[in-house]
Amino acid sequence: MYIASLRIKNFRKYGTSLDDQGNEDYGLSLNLNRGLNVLVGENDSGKTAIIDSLKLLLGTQSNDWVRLEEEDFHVDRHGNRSNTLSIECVLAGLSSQASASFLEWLSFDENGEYILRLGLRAKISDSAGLYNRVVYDVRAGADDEGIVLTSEVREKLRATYLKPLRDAHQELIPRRGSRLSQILASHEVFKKDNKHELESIMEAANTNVADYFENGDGKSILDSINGNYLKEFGLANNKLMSGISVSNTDLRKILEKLELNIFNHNGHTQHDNLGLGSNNLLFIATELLLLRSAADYDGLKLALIEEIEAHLHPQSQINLVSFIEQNISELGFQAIITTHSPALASKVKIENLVLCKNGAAFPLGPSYTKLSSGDYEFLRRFLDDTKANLFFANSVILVEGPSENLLLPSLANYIGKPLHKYGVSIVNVNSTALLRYANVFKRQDGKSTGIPVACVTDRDIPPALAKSEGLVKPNRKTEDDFTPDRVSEIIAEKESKFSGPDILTAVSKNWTLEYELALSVLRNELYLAIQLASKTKNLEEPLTREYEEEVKASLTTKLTGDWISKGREEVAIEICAPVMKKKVSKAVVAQLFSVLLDKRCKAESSVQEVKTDQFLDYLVKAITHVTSSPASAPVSSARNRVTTTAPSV
Amino acid sequence: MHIDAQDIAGMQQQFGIVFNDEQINFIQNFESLDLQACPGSGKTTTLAAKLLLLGEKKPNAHRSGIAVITHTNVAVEEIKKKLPSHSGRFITYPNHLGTIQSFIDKYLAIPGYRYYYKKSPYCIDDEGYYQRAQQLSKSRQYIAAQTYFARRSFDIENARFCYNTFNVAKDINGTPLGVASTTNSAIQLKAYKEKLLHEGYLCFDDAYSLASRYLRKFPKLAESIRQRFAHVFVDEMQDMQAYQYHIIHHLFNVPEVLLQKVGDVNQAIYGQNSATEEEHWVPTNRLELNKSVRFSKAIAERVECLGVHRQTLHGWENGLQIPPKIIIFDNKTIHLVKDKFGELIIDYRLTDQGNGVFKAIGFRKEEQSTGKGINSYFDAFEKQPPAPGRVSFDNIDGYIRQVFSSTYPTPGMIRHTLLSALARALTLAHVKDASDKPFTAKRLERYLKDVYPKDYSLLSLNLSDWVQSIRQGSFPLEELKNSAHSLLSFYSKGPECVQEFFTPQQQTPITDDSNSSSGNIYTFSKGGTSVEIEFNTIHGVKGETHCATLFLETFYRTYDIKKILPFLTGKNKPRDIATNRGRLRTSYVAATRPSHLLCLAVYKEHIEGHETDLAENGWELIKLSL
Repeated sequence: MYIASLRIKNFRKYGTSLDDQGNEDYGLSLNLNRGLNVLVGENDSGKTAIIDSLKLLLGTQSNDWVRLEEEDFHVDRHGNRSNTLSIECVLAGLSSQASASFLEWLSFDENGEYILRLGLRAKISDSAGLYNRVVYDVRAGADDEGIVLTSEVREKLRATYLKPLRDAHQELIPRRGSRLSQILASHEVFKKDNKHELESIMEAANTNVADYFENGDGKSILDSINGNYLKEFGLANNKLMSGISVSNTDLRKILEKLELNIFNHNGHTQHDNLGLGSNNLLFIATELLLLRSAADYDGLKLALIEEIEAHLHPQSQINLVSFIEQNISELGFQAIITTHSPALASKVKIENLVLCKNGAAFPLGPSYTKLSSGDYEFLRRFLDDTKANLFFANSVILVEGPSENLLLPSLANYIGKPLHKYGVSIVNVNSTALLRYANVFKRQDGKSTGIPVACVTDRDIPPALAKSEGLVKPNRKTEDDFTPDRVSEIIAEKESKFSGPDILTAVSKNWTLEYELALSVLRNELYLAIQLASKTKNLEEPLTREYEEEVKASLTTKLTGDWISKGREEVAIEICAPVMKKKVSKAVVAQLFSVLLDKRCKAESSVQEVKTDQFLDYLVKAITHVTSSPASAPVSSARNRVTTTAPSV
Repeated sequence: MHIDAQDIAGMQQQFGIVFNDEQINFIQNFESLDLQACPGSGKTTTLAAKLLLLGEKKPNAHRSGIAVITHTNVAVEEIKKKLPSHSGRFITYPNHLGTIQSFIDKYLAIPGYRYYYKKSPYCIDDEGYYQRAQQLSKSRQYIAAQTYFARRSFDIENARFCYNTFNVAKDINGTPLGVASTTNSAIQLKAYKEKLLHEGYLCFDDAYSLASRYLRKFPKLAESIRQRFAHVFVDEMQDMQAYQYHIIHHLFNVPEVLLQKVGDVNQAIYGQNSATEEEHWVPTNRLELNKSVRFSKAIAERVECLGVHRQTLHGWENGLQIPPKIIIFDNKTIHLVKDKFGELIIDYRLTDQGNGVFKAIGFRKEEQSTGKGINSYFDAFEKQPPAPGRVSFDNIDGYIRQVFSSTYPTPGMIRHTLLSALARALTLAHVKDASDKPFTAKRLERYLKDVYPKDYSLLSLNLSDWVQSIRQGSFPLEELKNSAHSLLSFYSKGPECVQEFFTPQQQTPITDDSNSSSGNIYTFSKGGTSVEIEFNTIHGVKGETHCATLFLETFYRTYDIKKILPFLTGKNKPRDIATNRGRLRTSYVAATRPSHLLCLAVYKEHIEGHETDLAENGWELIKLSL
């Protein structure tokens, strides 16, 4: 049995949306995987709200204090607090034993399979308690009304919950009601009706202890207590005697005396110096034991783990999550895990990720995105730590080469939109073809993720001049081989290929990035950058002042000399030639260009000239697209609808 | 599962009785079987002991539940009474203790209704159904069907969904309507039934048909039900209707379920098909309880001949053995029958014997032009006050009687009845809740709480005052009426809408008259001793034990005792059994109630010719004269 879907209305970040008929609908409708679900997203994106909604609906094994407060009711954009909320989930995959146990609450899905619908409905009511105005109940059944679940059945639905700031040490040391004792007690080896073996072991030990005090060295102590004091204190008809033994040998008390230790490699118990991280691993292992042990358990086996990375260094995180991912079907439970860790998110299969963003949640499985299922495996390999920033960013620019990767941040900076301030991640996919990874942000249901994505790509049809100058292979088709209409069509095709509610594809007007720059008002900076680059291989050799002066002088000569008579295109070809002929490294050029751009005059008019340059327009559009939608952007699809109709660029 | 002598001893101590061999045999048996239990065999106690032991012994890991299914609520109460209060778990999850109707409703009909209609049914009972059905049958859309079928002496509200096909039919067994399904009348009738179903009004039969439809749609439900209930005990098996019998068998007659059906085939007075009066349940793989702990040997020997399936009865031997009597009367002396009965009770000093319950019972309640009824013997005999479970009444009378009828109504029950009355008043004034459903007590309460919280708290206060005043014996009619008026004012409706409802039709006492519910009791006195004799129908005393029972001859098609006299003398022909099945069963139930004294009241003309035979067979004849 697992949670197949979760719907939330007016709980915390999740408000309401409108359905196709314009009726009020759930603010969140989320389908979940049978096994692992990793909720990723920036702070305050609604991950905890999802976990908490399930805690409220199901309760937890450790009986954590979960209660609805007035603050949990959604506040809409007008600042009005809703006075009702509802959380609903559908449990599917019931075993035949579970179907028998939940029989009176079951219904069927469209395939005739058993499902269990659970709903929590809450309201703020003045007539509720004195201090608490929030009342709610949990019901189950096929219709909206539902029937109340008996407490015995609710027990079967509790989730195993690991809170974000786990005091793992505290949970594992022996004490009354320790988590370790609870977990052990619910393990089947401790579910015996007769006397448990451990009880006999303890009793034997107890006898030895008592014997030590009665007949061994301890006798003197007892004799002293009994002989010197109690004899005197007691009344004649009420004599006092004492003995010393281990208290309480019933199973529960024994389990509470136990402690889980980690052995070091010498096989000795490692005391005291166990770090938080190891304690956490130990603790998680213990909790998983509980989930796994009850093999024929007919209830829900669900682990809710908040910030699984807590206290663990990245390698441990990856190790732990990979273990869970690989073994979850064998372990036979469902896990819903939240994380802030890009390291962790990048190692999890994309189909197990759920992207949380501003009060909406997007499962990234193949049935939800437009990414073809074949690309899933590749994208996962491709995503390393840095690229997993993808899922924590406010917006994303996908570029096809190192030049754009290096240059765009400087350009953005120059026009006053520093990418880091807007939480933009820039990801170099190294190939035009792989820009299709943008499809991971494109939903099959056509809804917006609220994450603006810009794909920056080249028109890639060289001007005729490029061929005559020998910059491209002789058999390559150039602009002259196409009608102007066909060229516009090709651009339009490229632009529409990956576009969607949030995705903008920005295509260079003429050829490549370098060529556009060479045509633009920034051509001088590019010229300098290329000339400098040709002198320093990979920036290894230091650029001397003399050389810089020399290059600058050559620019002045060009500007006052043959460039005057040459057409702009001709000049651009000349500037780019070293790059196209691969005489200089594109990356080095981009680096040097960025430095020059940073030094460029920041006067209003200079900036304006860049912003309005027709050749830089596609880059400016891309930057504007990913920086214009503030983090406070649309949450529910209802509001998204508003933004998509408004021009977003 | 093994139950040993020690377990039995524990149960004997708990119940304060000694189980006989037959009973122990049943308690220890954990195979599917039929138990044929004679009247007074102590089957309920035995079953209770068995359930307790099963509950104790069932391993914890074994998560399946125990289902105890009866035909009537009375039997449910009997079983509950026998179980100690701490064993409440038999009625709670994952177990089920209730009637077959409640079982089918809970696990099939209600979930099925929710599946098909995405809401809960409004009511599953005949009274609620007929109330709405009659109202709806007068609506213009269905008037053609109504008149068409009425001319063929069929009321459309009696139409049912067929158990096997869910088509609309004359009854649950699918008796065809007698018209082509393409005719207007048939189409209208279908629409009418579907409208009722859609509104959520189901009669008892409809619930079975819906359950059966849901089961056909999802056959694996049967699997889940079997897995949930690995132990199933059915009490009153003999009274199950054909479809009830079918569904029990369909669900539970499989090797993996332990199914034990308990009953007395000779006491089947409900379930049999009235046309053929044949049993659906004939105990096959059977165990028997033949020893009655109820009646004396003197009675046992006289009445076993009334069994359709002859079972040797063993009564108790140590104690007062009173030969059964036949009181012979004529039209002039009929009113003296009850006095003679009273006199016999006092003469035998039975007021100190047995359980001190004395009843006079008969088949037919009222006298007809064709023949006698119970009220011919005692003209004060009338209908019982309505049972507390009833849904709604069209007049405040019903609610007044309800709050005063049960012996010890809890404040909660009274409060609920008052709320029901308010809800009914609103419904009669055509006021419905937000989702356009008629109000019920629960729905009204929830609605007020949500929409008019202030008025709700005021009403709550009033309700608690009214409950007080009812407990002190006076019904707050005016206050209730005013409250209804103010509720109606929310809907801009005037007090006239409920005027009729709040005007008691009968001269029902507004205050509690302790004798009002005892209209069926006749008090007879002789020599300073008085004895109370309660009059009732045979169906009404099913399962009861009396100290003395007077079985009154009444007329239904023919006089009943007249027809069974040959059986009492052993002079009946074998084929007589088939023609008298029904009469034999009711007579058997009637004659097996008393522990000490059984009297039959028979018309003089009917006894003529049988006197000698009866006397030879141990019956004492008493002729009444003025």
